[in-house]
Amino acid sequence: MNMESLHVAASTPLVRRVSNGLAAAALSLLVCSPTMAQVSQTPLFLGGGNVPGNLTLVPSVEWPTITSVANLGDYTEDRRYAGYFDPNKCYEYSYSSTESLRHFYPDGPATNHRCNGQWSGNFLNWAATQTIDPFRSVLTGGYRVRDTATETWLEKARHTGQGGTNIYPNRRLPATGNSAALVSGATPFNADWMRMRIVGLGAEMRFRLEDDDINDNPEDYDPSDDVNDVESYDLSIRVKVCVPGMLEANCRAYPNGNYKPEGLIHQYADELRIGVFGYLNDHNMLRDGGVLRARQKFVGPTMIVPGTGQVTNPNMEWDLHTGVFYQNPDPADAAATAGAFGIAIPNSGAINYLNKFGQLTNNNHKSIDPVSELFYTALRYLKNQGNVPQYSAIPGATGVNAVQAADGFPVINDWEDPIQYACQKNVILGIGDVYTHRDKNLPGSSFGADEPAMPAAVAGDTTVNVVTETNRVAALEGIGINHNPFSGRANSAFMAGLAWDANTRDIRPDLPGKQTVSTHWVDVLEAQSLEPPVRNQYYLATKYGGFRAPDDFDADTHTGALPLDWWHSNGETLVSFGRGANPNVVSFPRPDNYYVAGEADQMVESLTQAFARISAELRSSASSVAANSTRLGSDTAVFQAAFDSTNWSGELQAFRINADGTISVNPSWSAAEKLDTLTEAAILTRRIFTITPPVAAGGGSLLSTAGTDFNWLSLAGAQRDALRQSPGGGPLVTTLVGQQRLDYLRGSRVLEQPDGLLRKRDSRLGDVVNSDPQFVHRQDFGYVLLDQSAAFYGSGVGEDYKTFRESAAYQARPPMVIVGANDGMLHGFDASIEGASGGDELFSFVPNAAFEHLYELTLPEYSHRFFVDASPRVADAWLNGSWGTIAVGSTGAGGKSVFALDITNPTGMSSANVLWEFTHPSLGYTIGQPAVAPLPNGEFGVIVTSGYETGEDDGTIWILDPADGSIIHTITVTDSGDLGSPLVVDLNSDRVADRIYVGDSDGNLWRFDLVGDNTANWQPPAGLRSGATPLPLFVARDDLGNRQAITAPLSSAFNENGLHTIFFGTGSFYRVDDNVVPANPPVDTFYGIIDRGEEITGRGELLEQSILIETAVNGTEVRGVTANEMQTGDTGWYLDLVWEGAFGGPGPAGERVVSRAAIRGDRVIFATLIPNPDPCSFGGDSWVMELNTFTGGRLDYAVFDLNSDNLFDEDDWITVTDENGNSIRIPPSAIAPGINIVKTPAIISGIGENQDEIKVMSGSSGQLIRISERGAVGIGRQSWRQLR
Amino acid sequence: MQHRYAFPHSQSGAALIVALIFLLLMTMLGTSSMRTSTMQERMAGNMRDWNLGFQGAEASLRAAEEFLIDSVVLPEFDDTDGYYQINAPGRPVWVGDVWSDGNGYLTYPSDIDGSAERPKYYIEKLSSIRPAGTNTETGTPVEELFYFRVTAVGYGGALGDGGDPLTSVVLSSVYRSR
Repeated sequence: MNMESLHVAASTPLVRRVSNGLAAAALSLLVCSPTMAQVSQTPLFLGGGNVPGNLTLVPSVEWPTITSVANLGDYTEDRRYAGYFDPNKCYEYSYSSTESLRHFYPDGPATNHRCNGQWSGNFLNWAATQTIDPFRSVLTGGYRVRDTATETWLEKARHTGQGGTNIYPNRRLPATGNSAALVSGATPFNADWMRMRIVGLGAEMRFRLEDDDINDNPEDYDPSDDVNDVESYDLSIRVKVCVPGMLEANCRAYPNGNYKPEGLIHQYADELRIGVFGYLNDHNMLRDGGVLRARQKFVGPTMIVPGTGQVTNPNMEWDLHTGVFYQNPDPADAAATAGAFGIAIPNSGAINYLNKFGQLTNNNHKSIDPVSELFYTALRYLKNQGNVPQYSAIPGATGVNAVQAADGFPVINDWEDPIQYACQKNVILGIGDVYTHRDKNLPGSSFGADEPAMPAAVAGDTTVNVVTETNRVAALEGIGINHNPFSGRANSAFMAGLAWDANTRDIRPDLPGKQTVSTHWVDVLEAQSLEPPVRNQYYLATKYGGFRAPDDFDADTHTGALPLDWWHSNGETLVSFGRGANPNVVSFPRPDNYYVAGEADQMVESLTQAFARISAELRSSASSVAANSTRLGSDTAVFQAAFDSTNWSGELQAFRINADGTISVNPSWSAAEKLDTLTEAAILTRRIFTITPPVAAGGGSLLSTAGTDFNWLSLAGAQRDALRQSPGGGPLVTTLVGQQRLDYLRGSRVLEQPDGLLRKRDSRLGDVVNSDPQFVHRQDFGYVLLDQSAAFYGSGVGEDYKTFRESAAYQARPPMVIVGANDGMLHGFDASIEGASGGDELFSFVPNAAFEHLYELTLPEYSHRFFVDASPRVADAWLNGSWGTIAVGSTGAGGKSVFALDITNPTGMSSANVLWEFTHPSLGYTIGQPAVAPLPNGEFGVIVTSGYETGEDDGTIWILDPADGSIIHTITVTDSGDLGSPLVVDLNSDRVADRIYVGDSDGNLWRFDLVGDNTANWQPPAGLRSGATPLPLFVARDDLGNRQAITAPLSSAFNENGLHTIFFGTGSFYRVDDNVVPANPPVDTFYGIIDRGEEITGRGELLEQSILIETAVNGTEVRGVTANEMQTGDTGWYLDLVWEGAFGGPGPAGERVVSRAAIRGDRVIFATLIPNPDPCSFGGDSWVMELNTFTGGRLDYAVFDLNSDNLFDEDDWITVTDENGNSIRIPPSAIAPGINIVKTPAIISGIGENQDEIKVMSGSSGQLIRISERGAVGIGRQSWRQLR
Repeated sequence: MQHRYAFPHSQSGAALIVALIFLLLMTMLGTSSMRTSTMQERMAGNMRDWNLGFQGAEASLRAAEEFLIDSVVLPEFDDTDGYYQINAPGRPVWVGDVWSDGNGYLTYPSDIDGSAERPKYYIEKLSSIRPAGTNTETGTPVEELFYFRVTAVGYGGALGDGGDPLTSVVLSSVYRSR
């Protein structure tokens, strides 16, 4: 190992050690190279983690939303009613002399909602559910009045009597007449009919048998006493839930072995920060606005801190171990309110507020709901404008009592900025009725009826004018909106104008980029009425505050109706009813963000939909794109792998390339979707293979050649034990759990959370991060030429190759894409574009090296690591006397092994097709891609380098037999850095390997010549060795002499003078701190090195090119580069990846190259990478460079169509001042794709009349883009002669 | 269209390519085209016939080249019916003493006014040219090289004793389609 230091910052504790077993090896590495950081086990471009969304809940809760009946109509057994009870269970009632101990508990299943001698859960939901109950149930799992480690009781909302029997009638079972059957199926009683009352009874329900006088002689119901028809009885609506053995659908297991009901807030706790605004409980109509009840924060056990990553959440709202809610998770806010008003505030937190508002006092529920002002308050929060003192003043101008106003919860006045990231998604989700009150006192309004004086903070708010914006909504909708009142009660529709403004304009000019707010609202349909758009402020607010505007949308100039597909994709049409049907019934498309919840089950459905839509699709892609063809054809497609780090799911999709070179919007198929539609039964027949653990073999290697099926009976004992490991090295779990884990890894979801205890997955396909998908079908490897080579002369293998490729079996085999995933497997998928088989899994392989950590994939506390993360190599090879196609994979940073499978017959894969798995004590992380090539000794070889973190001073190159993995030859690279991918080249066009080049992390470029059939002579040429010790052809160093790591795969070509040239860029992006750019970053470089077989003394021998300018042309960032001429004797060229201050640039920015360059005749094409630790930047940005292959300078023609006129001409050139101060016009040499980090693009030619090309690439932002490019020059007639 | 036939930007590269190709062709074709004494007599006969033959052969070259660049999917070069691997033994022989149409050829799709027969041609796929800037890595699918040699024969109007055209002209071009 070379002692010279590389430019790497100190390691952080954020990413844990790769493996405890490696400690010794890693230590020795550290001694040799003190600044070497470790291989990262998470994708570096995620920065501090995913950017969470901000969900601000705005429950506009007036008493009708709490006290109305939730399940309308007469009771019928045919219908399923939502509520706290399970409609499919029967309940017993437990009486106690203490009211708070009375409760229902489930006893068994109901039959078609009927019970015998017991209470039907379905009936109790119908009889005793108020509108707020399903809201609480779906968001939080429900209001828990008993919440211990082993027990959970839910209680219905307190009924104050407000609204009386108009909104909660005293109901009758059956509605009219007698039905002893209905009564006995719903209750324990044998009676012809019964009457129920909820109004004004708090948490109780009263009933009386066969008599309408519900209030006669009420006494507490005790099931051990007889029930008669001369008295009425009171029951407490309190129910025990999540009883083991009788779990409800929303019960989730906790580590203590018990279960708790969970809501959407639990489910989205990893990706959404929750904040809650509500009203003060002040019924005075002069009380404006709302107050912050729970500040924007994570509510779950962990939180993501910008710049730090995931840490324990000090304000978590439930116990990690038991799931019990904490009563006061935000004690500072509770204490501040208690101190300010001299009252007790024992509760805090978002979940507690949602569950308990109105529950903690005996006061009436809130009257008078100024919804636009509440909405405005929430927007002020997101705009970081500060609290309005009058809104939160107690007693304030209205003289409200502090206990009543606070309602037992914090009133938070000291607002912090809730927006943490420039790219954070901000969403407001509200619920309420449309019959709102007195909410006009907002910026720009002069309508003062029933309003107090406008607070100074509101009057001084110049960011929005509610009248102007609401008028704009009216104009776009083509309606008139009256401002005083909008629909009555001195109300307004100003929230529609506010929502429109926040959705279309940058609410935070103080932050980079554009921040907007998307509004979602649930309409509770008060008085069983759906108002039409013209009288429905929620329809207007969600349509204009929720539509998805295109990037170039201008809120100030747009006119005309919004196109339907901007705001309506659900296909549902609503029809106004109730009061809303008067005078006319109106039907209208439902805006995607507008949800109706007239009944409990609709509310559950609506809120579930809302969260699903709100949940950000955090997709990312790091691997490059594979194309099935280099030239456009009718079935040309590109294959994009991607991952979602939320639950580490993966994706592989095929996108067809259209005739005009555009990429189809919709994928032809999705491999994840195909895997996810498999039934549990189909899981059993997935073709998943593994291999027995390797044993000692020749050359110090450990080798296995015995493939097996990936099922419990076939596994070796050590592999079974590996699956039974406990975190932290505890005792092995039971065989049963081990088998369950194996089933999970095979794809069974039966025991996945929330139904079981194994980690929740979003897809059976695990994340694909650094593995570039490889396409294999019927590509010609040119091995017909082998018959003409010295090595294979006379063997006839070339002729056999022709026969092999002409065989019916070969011709019939389907195309396939092979990719490694961090679910522990190398996957092979059918890559057909036509037909239904595309995306079907053909096989998967779990290398033995993955077993050590496989069990971690099943743990809910899984912390990401790599498993099969390297790019596989797919190649034809001569295997034991016949031709075949093999896939050689490696584990990347997930392990230290290389393995091979015979994929000649992709549709008939079995464990017999597993060829071998190889490892060696000198083998490090196999991040590079292996090579497969014919050798001068007449054999085929798999060329593998020792990779990263070997812990040894010398690197090793192994040449293995592709048929059995045995070592053909070992090359020692004395005193090397960590070795990258081998480049195997053929100089005389006979396809036989002539040389191996390899770069290392110390900047050395090595060359080994494979000459003759005696492997002992396979060594560097005489000019590149000292005795037997190899000398590097070149050492990459920057201007200051610092070594530059070579981690990118190499490329090679002959130059115009027939000299062999090696191309590569320098830099690394795989170690823990590689994503951090220090203050004065070192400069990395792209090189074209001419190999004359002699040591190159340094960059002084090379021609220097420079970046002259970076500028934007028509919105595209481009670069201009020098065009210095090669001089005789130059041994190559280089371009420093920096726009130097000497040319007017900002200097080094940490730009580097980690992916392979493509050589296309006179163009060398490569992608660079500039890390950025901001999570909004998906790790950083890239340039795609196109330089002259032979000089490294700019090309003398345009390759980018910057003015989009479909021509590549001088109109696409840029003006630049050259090094002599002259203004010149030059073609640009690079563009920024603008989708964050990209790798080398897939290039598809033959587009359109001019045979142009497209470059397709996948960015770390998850986007797939194409760049149109000029086709290769030099097409046409090359020569002409007359023969006769 | 212009850029297909011109080399406006990299003259030196093209010169090298042409040189390489000439070398290749000289090696491959050897001396066969020199032994044409009997034919020369006939050809000298009629300048107009020669012109017709030339036009036909050149038109065929152009037709083949258009086809090569416009085809999204090329046919298999399976040594039959006008599509051959380079120097395939079964290809037509239209020079020298012994003529042969080999395993088949392609016929120019329209008549040449005054010509006795429609021109014929065949296309050979060149697979061993590696101009500067071609990847030298091995063990990977061959990058399609897209070089072809088109050989075409055109005929004059006059017929000989056996009813065959008296004059024929054979032209050949090397063409890069992508």
